[in-house]
Amino acid sequence: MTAISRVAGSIVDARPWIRAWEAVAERDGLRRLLLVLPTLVVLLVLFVAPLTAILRLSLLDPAPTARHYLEVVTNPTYLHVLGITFETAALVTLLCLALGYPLAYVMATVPGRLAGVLIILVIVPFWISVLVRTYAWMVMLGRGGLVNTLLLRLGVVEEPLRLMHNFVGVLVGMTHVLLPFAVLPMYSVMKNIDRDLLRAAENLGANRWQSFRRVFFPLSLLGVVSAAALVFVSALGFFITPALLGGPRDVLLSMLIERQVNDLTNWGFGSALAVVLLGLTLLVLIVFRRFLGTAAWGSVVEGR
Amino acid sequence: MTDGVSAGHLELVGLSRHFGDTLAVDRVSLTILAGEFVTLLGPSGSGKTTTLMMIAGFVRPSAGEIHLAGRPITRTPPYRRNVGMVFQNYALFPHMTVFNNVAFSLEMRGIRKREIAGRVGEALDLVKLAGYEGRLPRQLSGGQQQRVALARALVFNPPVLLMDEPLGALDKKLREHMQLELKRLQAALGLTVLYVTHDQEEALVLSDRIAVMNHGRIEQFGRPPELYETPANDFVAAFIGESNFFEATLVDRLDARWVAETPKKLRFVVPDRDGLRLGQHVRLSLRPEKVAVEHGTGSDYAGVVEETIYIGGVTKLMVRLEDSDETVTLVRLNSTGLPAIRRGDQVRLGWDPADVKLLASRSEETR
Amino acid sequence: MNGWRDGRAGPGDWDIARLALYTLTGLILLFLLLPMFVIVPISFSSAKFLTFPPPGWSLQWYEKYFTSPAWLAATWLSVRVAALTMVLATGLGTLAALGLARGRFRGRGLLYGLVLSPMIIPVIITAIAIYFLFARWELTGTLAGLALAHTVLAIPVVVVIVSATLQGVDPNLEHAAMNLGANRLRTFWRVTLPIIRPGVISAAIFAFIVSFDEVIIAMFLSSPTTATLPKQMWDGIRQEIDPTIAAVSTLVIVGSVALLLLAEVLRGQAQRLVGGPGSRGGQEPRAKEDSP
Repeated sequence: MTAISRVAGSIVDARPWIRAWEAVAERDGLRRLLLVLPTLVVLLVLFVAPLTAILRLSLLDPAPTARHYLEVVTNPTYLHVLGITFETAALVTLLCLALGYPLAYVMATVPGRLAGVLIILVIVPFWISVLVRTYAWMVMLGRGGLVNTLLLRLGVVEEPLRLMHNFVGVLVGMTHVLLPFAVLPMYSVMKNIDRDLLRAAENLGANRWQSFRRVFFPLSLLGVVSAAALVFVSALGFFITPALLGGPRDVLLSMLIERQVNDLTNWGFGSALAVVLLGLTLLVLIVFRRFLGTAAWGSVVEGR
Repeated sequence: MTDGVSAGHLELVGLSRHFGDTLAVDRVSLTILAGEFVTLLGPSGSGKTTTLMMIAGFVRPSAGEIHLAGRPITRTPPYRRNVGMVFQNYALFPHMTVFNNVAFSLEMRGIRKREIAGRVGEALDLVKLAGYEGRLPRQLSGGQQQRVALARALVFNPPVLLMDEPLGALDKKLREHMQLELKRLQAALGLTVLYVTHDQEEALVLSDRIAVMNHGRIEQFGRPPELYETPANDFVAAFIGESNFFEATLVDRLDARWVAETPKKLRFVVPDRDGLRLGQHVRLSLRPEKVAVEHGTGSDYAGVVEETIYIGGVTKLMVRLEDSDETVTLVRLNSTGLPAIRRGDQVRLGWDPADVKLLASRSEETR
Repeated sequence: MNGWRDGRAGPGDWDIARLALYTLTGLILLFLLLPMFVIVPISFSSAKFLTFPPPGWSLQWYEKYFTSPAWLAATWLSVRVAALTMVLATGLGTLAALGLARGRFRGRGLLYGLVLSPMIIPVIITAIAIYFLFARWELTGTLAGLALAHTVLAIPVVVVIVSATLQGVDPNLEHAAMNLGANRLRTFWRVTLPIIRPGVISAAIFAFIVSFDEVIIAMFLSSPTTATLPKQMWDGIRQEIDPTIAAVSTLVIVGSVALLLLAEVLRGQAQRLVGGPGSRGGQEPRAKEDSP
């Protein structure tokens, strides 16, 4: 009993200001919000404010005007750029899904240890500099590169093929860079498909193909859609790879923005293009928001 | 210690908690005396864990007060409450050894190293885990983890120990063993325990008093035999043990007794109680083991055995009564020498009218 | 764990379909990995141009890198920027994750969206926006400017990783610490932080990588005297494709792989802590399947 009263006594004796702070701290929501506050301030100053400035520039440079936006939607050159940007993003998305699905499927169905190795093999390229990987493709696809050397040696071609500084180079490079974006969300959905469902299907008489077709595939579609959305959104704003592997005619929206701001210092028009790209990105995100929870992004960052 | 109320005296007054629109805990009032073992018993979602969390200080009550040893602690932060707690999955710190887990509360209270070592040793002796000081939680079996959690909760001599389904993760044999050990510890140390479980058998084994909870409310609070013999309503009657339930109408009065009749014309004699009137609808409960059975015919309660279920020490019989077509479930000891009763046998049933309990109408209906 | 036919993965399962699938998977993995393995031999080439296979071997490109003041200055700048970014983003992001993962306040979803958006919105947009702002604040061409801009990109990565780690932590561990008398600060230092520490460190590693590899913002914010390593490489690639870049790339790959393996080891540790038998419950099956 004495021990209890001693401990209890030492606890009851607290300074009033600690009590006061605790009264605030006990409001859990408020306390949690305080932890987010520094980040919130940083992002408001360094992210939201600059974006707002861009939006203002696009409408106010040099005087209040809508002409930058009119230029984007009426000038055939810029409409063409928009078209190519969408086309590239769509093709890259299809390629990533086609290559990513079988890889994700194998990762989700092989024994755990091997799956772990495969995950690392997918994640490591993802975290290696996009610039380095794009450069690697320049080495691969150049006139004296690995691919042409092989083709020449095998006698498939007489002359080195032109594999980069054109649309082929853009597609190959972007598919390579964005493939992990497709594999990881699909894998994370496939891995969580209850194996008993497949056992049940086989027990009910489905062969392996049927149980895949009728049970596994429909359940994996959620991952496919979120992978598609993720790749498409990322491809829309892609810059480094198309800039290095594309030819003079393969100008994407992001490259146009860079050129307007960096080379031409045409801030008003550059900002308007940036706002258009932002708008398109947000549109895709909103359309696919159901499939792009934090889990999808998390699966990519974390490789789950 | 203060106000002449002993340290272990815990009082809940009108405690409520909303989560959004749902009322998780609804005006719970409860007094737990020092040295008493009280259990909150109820199905999942009945508000028992939320009640415990409010006492420990992790959930703020929407209304109501909590008093410990006569002092209000409703607004005390959890780390100043000085209330011991064993969590459902033990919540042992995975990065600390057994010793450091148990020593944690003493360190937080600024107690000297030398004293800590001694008290941790005593606590581990108490739960028979001396020698395990250097292990990490993941190197222990479920039962050992449970004991560490208990030692950790006891080492700072809290006036009250809260336990949230502490044995739920253990298998049946180990659970029964731990129940006895817990009971022994509680008696030896004179602990005040507030225990949460959904297992009625566990509650009956351990508790001095049980509060049966449903939909956030306490349906009945009493000693185990009270709950079993005189359940306040059919929720309590059904949740603790099994029972035959009948809807009936009071059709006649004989001296100090009433005659109740079910729609299928089965008649019961029930003792008188205040407020009963002719024509009133009542619910009746009759425990299966209170029904006597023998071979034969020609009584009001004669019928045919429809089903027999052998459960080791007893056999459960379901008998359809001839006159009324009601089914009565009863249990019969499988003693040697008693004639076997089989399906299809003609039997007579009998019971003491005092064993037919009048229930208050179901709690939901009164809302 | 993953195969649903685990018990009988005998030779009978190696039919044509499966063989074809595994071959295809092998080719896809090759597509993913080959480019990086091609760079390594090129970096040891004796030729002046990018030809494959290299006609002979030499260390000339590494020598060129290690003796070039421009390359070394760029590397040193990148290391400093990345280190500063790492400190800022890890600190801010961890606090934010602690607030967002457990908090229940109005607008939490919106806040989460805002915190993650730098990861989602095309970097080119963020880059010109920050460039415009920093030009006015005279932060272009400075180490601080680069680190601040990179912090914006790295915060979401830290938040995602630390949140995921926190989700695996049984909230009752924190409850238990408080119940035993630790106030919120001590609960954080003694219980929460030690358990999530591997996750926080791996988040820091990724924050470092995000900054160290970042090109687009650096393109705008660098001045002739302050080029980061990726900016220097970008210029090099655009002007002339000389194999020095291959040597630098090889070094970057080796460094990145080393950091990634470290992060992977830490993740395994984090899962041992949060998914151990001490915290049995809903998270355990997930933790088990996650651990490669």
